[in-house]
Amino acid sequence: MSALSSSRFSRRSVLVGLAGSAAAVLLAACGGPASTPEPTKPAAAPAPTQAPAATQAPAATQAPAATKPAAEATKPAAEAAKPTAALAPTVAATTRPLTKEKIHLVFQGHVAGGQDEQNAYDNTLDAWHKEHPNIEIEYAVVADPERIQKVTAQVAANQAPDMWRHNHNVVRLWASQGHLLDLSDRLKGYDKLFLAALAQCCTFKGKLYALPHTTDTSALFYRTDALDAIGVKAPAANEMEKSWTFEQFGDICDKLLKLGKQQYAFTHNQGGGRWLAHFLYGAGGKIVTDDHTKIAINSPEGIRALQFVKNWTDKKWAPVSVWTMASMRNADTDPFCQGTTSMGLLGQWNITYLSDQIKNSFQWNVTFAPRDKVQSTSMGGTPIVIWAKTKYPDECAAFFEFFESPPMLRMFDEMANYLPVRLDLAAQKINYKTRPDLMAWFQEQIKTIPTAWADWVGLTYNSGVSTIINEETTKMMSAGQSAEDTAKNIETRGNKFIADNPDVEKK
Amino acid sequence: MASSALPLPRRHRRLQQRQWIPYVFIAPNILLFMVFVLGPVVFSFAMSFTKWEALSPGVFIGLKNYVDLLSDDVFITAVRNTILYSIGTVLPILAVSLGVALMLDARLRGRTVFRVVIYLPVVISWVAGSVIWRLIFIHPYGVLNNMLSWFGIPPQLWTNDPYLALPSIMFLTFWKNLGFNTIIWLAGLQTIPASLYEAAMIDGANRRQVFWRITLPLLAPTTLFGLVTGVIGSFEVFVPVYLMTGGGPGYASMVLVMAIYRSAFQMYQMGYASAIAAVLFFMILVVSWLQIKLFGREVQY
Repeated sequence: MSALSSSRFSRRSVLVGLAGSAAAVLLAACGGPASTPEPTKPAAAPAPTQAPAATQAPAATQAPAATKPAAEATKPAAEAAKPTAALAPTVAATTRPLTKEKIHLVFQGHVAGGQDEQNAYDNTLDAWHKEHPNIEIEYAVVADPERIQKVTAQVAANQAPDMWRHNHNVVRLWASQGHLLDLSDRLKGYDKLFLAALAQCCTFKGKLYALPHTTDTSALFYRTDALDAIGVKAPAANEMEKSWTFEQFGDICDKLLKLGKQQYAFTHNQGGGRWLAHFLYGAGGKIVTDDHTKIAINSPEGIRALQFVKNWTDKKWAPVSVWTMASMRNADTDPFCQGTTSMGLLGQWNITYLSDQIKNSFQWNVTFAPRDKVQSTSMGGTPIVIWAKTKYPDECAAFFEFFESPPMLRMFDEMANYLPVRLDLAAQKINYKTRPDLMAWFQEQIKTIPTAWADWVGLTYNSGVSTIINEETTKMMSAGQSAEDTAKNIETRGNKFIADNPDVEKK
Repeated sequence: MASSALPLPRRHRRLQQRQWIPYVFIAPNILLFMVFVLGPVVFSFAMSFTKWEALSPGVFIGLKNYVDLLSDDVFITAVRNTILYSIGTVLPILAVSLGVALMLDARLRGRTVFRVVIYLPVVISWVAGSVIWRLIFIHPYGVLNNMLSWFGIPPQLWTNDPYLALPSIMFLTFWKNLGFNTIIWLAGLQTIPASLYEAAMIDGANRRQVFWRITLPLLAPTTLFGLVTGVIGSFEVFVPVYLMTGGGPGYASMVLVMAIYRSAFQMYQMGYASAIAAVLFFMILVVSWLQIKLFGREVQY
């Protein structure tokens, strides 16, 4: 036996040792940080439950006059309340005991509205740091498309930020899995402060797990010279009942195309599923049955809405590429800015960009999105949440109180052109920085979020079924699939997905 | 035995100590490989037998994910598209890049400039390249449609057309990878001794005979390298698909890695996505083994 082969350190033993080390490293990685936070508060007592002074009487009963509900499924959620509380001139100081230590909290999110929105964050944090110099909050910006993926990985690795911007459609799922802090006791009464549809998506089993912060919706932008040329007058902001029906809108598109001044009648941002809220619910259809166990889109109303959307490309009203270019920056707005289309079914968050791009090239205005039986709208925006394992739940809750206070929200909305999520602000005049004259249409339209849509957005299988709907409607838009086959395919594939992945409360 | 208790001679002891040295050098690499490659591969394979929604505990469901794959139209389309993409990119790129390499190997004026131009797309990132080509293909205003209009051809949908979406991505891949393969062929060509060509010329061989009898056989190791890495790379294509079509329209240009992403991060079906990943792993394993088995023995190093 040679000296080498008789060695105590064979190749096998070294590899076994390395494998053991690798396993140990993997196990250590799975174990999370050594200082896995067990809440350490300066005061052991639970946080006080007082809401800010300005928000203690959130309930209201009167419906906004302009909204016109026609069916239960499309009943505007905002109808449920009207504000009674006056705005506080300054942010009410929190009464909860906060740490005196110097701490650093991370609030993670994106900046959707450009520099104005970034400035709004900066202003908010500056104001917070003046009041709480020891509680430093960093707004960690991540790209919007990877926002949820990133926080998913962070939570899985036990390394999540203290607070982050979430998506409405995953609040209930994450709450059911125990990753989000229950805000019910720390922010008592807050579930009644917001537009009902938004608040609905933030609750799970009666507990509040998120707060709405921004919301947005889409309406129809148009060139005034284009509509003047075909002799059409757009409905004013107080004329929602006169908003164009599918047929009227189609006639206008045909006339604009016949006139030939612009290549297409309109551009839009509806490819990611916003069309469902506007046109499916507007036609009296719905995505899922009321018990949330089956797809309900394969109905005469559903097929009518699908056919309306299919006409956009079949009749060449809108460029087909816009349907699939949602992820490409400004692909939806640029055709309108560049004069390729006469109209644009776009969001109010686009106003600053449109204003910058169009300048004085042509005059433009806004009217309501087309409707069928009723006016109906999508629910945008991102709610904010706190990690269940944050070391500083009270400090995070105090920041949310501050961030969601009327003066701060008003400042944020005015700077970044967002629609107010609080009922008290929704009824007041907001001095928007850019084209405030256009916001009245959006403020009216946001009141028409169907409650059934809010139900759908919160379902835990929403992401999976939305992917299926998007794939099938894209096939309809660009591969010639009929509206009937599209509805049928969505039903078949969607029902299978729901059967395998029922909503968390049906499991 | 008494002899085994005797102390080893000093030379042997030194040898025994020196055995550690190579292991110490490779240990960091092996450790990293085990933590970041082998560990996740094993974990992913284990996950493929579970129903797991990313942030909740996985539930063991046996082979259900694999059974579901067999009737999943999106997965079947992804397998078909991945094979089509592989055939439609690897072979044309290998053939054309060999032709370009032969030209660039000749004594041409401005040869260096041509090499730079051919190689330029390789240094452009996949993301930047994909965005550039998306703008070239965009309907109806893209550069390509504009050029077609000079000849009276109406604008094409390209990435929005279910039949043109995958070929559009293949074209981008061709543009992006041509330079890399050309450089590999050039390196291979320069290892062939000039004396073989001289001998062939003296024997009266023409250019075609020289190419088929000398150049191509002696490029066999390069061919095998290009084929194996090309096929593996083509099976793993993701960035251009994600950025140019997102797997659409519908799922017309869906490929396997895009299908994994779709299941994991759009539908939160991590177990199902892991099952697709396992299938992809075995597909690459089998195809690579077949390539080495079929072509490897022809290779002369």
